[in-house]
Amino acid sequence: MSARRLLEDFLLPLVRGGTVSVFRPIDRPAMERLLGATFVAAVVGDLSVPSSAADALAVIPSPRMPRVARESELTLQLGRHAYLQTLPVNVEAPLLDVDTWRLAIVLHNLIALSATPEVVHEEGSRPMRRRASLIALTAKMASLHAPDTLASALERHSLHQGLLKLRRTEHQVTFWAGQRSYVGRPVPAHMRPFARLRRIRVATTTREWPALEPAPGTRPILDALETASPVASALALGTGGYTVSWPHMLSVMRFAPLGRLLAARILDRGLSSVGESLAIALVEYAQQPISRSEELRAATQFLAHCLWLSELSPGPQHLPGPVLSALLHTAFSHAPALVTPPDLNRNRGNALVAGTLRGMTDLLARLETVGQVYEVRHPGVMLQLLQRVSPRNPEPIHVR
Amino acid sequence: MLVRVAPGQVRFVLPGLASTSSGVALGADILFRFATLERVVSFLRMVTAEANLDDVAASVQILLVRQGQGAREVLVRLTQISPHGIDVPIRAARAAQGQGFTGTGRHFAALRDAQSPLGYDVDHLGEGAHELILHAHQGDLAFKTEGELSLRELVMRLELVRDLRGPEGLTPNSLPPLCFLTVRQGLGETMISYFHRAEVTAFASLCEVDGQTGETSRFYFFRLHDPPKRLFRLLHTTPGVSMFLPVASGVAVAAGYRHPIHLDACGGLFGGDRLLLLQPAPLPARLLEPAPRAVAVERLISVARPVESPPVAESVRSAALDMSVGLTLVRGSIGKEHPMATLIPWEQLPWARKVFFALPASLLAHHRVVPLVSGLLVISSDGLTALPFGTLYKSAARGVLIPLGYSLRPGVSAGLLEERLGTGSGRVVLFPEDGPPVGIEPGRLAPLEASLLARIEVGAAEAHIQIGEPGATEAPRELRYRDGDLMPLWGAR
Repeated sequence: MSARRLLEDFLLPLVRGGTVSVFRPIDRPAMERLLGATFVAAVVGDLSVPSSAADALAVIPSPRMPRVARESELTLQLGRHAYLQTLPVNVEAPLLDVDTWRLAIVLHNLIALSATPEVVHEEGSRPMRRRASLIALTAKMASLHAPDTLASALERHSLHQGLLKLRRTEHQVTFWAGQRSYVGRPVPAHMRPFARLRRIRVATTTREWPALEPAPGTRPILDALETASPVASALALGTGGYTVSWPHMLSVMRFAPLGRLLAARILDRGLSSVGESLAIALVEYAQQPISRSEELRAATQFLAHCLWLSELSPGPQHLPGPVLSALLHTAFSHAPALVTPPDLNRNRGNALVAGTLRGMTDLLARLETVGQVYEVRHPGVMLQLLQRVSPRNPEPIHVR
Repeated sequence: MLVRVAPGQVRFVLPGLASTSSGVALGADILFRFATLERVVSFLRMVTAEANLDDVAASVQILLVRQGQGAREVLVRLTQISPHGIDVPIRAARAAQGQGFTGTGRHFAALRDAQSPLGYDVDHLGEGAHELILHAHQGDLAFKTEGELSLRELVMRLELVRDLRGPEGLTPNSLPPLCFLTVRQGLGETMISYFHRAEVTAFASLCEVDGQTGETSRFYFFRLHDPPKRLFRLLHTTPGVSMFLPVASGVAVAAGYRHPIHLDACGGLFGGDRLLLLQPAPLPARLLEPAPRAVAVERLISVARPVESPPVAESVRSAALDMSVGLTLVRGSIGKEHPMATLIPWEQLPWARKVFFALPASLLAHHRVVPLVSGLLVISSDGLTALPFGTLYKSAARGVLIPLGYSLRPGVSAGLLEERLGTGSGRVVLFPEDGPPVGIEPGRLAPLEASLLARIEVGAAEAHIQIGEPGATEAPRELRYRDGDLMPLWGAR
């Protein structure tokens, strides 16, 4: 696989639209030809050890950047910039840097590994071992650290978003001796002749990529990819295909423009449904040892922010579900600073602010009724969460 | 006939012989006898490898002598400085198959050896009017001097030895901090201007030397300080340019060669106001006396004299000369460019409306809008900061808008663009990415705040576009597997 083919036949159509050509999976020698043996060795390391978060923090030498035509590079740059211009953030055109090449390899291999969904390899067989090795290799290549700037988050997302818009045509050919399926490739000519005699019937379906089941064994790649590029999964919230992952959500929310975008998405899709699943996921996440109190505090404040936006935006109001209600009401009762904007008290004299605050106080009080549905079944859970969120809270916390 | 010196002996028959503090009999001079000149060279090579010649001997004399009708031999006469300093030349002479003697004037006795640790004296001085008499173990040897060869002359006559690394460890990746060049006269001006352009610290002078046949040859002499590595090939491969590396004060050897004798140990030979350039055979050594006084090349750059009356170009009829080319957009790289306008597709208008709604009055006042077929053009006089979507345009000249990442060719000045496109009076010309430029008369540009209140009428139906979703015109992405039919993992390692 040459850098030119990867860029022009795969990456450009993935970003700009068109026929996305996927070739044989990029194995280690091909990666070394693309990025240099030293770089690949530093990134991939020992394949027998599963990839971890520490891989992303390893000191990695600069790769030998593949040489491609300047025209293609510029076209990709403009294509990614054109996509980013559709988002309400101001960002410069992304460059064709090493992260781009790594993500390109990862996306290509991820799609290539789903080429034959019907083929099941025997455990321990040679193809199975090859496939496992390729998955481990690709997962290591995808182990980028979570984006540390808004620009890097959006640059990665400008590539990743193409995957979510990908669609695959599948042909199911039935003939007198059996049936055969062709996924992502046309029905070969030798299947067509004597159609009536051979009773050939072709059923064609087109499926979107998010609706496809992940290829067997590719979960490590998907996890690493979501960590490296969390914007896609965060923005796809509530559309199915992605489960709510607060670590990924938080790595998106730390950038204010993306946090606003996320809040707008949640409101678009309904705070009562999406907000409820977010609250359930937050309670589950709080019970895991990896969760930190700062994260839980930010998540609670974000959900309160969504409720405020919902209250301020025109249109019919929908009350949040029981879990979100229980969370916000408990927070309002015991740590009001978590759910009240800090500058509100300063402008209490303003009639508009005073009116909004009054309406919001009423709403939060009304949430108690809804939240009791949850509180009755799970007594004390929300208080424990709040205690973790605000351990220095001077207000007394009583378990009912 | 030699006799051994006894311990405590203070009186000697041989004139000039004296006892040192350790009891060894030594004369003022040390004489070494060699059969051929090659052995003398070997002797000098070994001596200079170990010690500085100035520390060994006050003077060095090479005599070409003959014994009766015998073969010509070579004697090297050293005036000793101290008895301890002669150990090095004695060892070197033995290694070069020479014999050592000591004495003064005409008579010399053999140097001390294992049989006589304190040296030798003679029982009587021989008769005869010979120029030199060496009292050796095999008998007295009388020599007649046929000529003398100065050490400097010997050094200049020796052939250089090829050394790929060069005397200074010279490799293509390193040039010495100081080197000399001799350049043929015709190349001199070019090299001066080249060194000046390349910002090399160089000094040059024009030298004249008298050739062997009596004619005078001229060449340029350059002294380069810290020459950059990239000059290596130029200095080595250009015909007419010879590079020399200084090995001692006043001596330089051609790059890629070394002298058989370690010249850095013969510093006293070449002192003074002269420079010896040793070239590979068959070229003779060049002695520049006095040493060239080089001046910085900056001072030697020839400045073109201004033409007093420039010739007047003949004018041609303008109709015959058509050089006009069309103004076209070409793609460049996206750098730090400030957008001044944006063309918002009609699909994104609801979204833009929300942004307009939230804009403060100070920003609203700077925006003007005009509805076009392809979308709503929003122009800001203060730089577009609040609308990061749509196709962004920058200002190429006053009233000339081109997309970000593009530039206009030919790259004429902004004033000319403004004049030709007639944008001086408030007219705006938009260059879309695809399609011909569009002119917008000043009357069509409406203030954004007024348009907001008046509700801009748009022809296209309002499409529902979610925030963060691309426009509906985007091409679908169709997946197609190329390699391998049923075995996509074939060949994967």
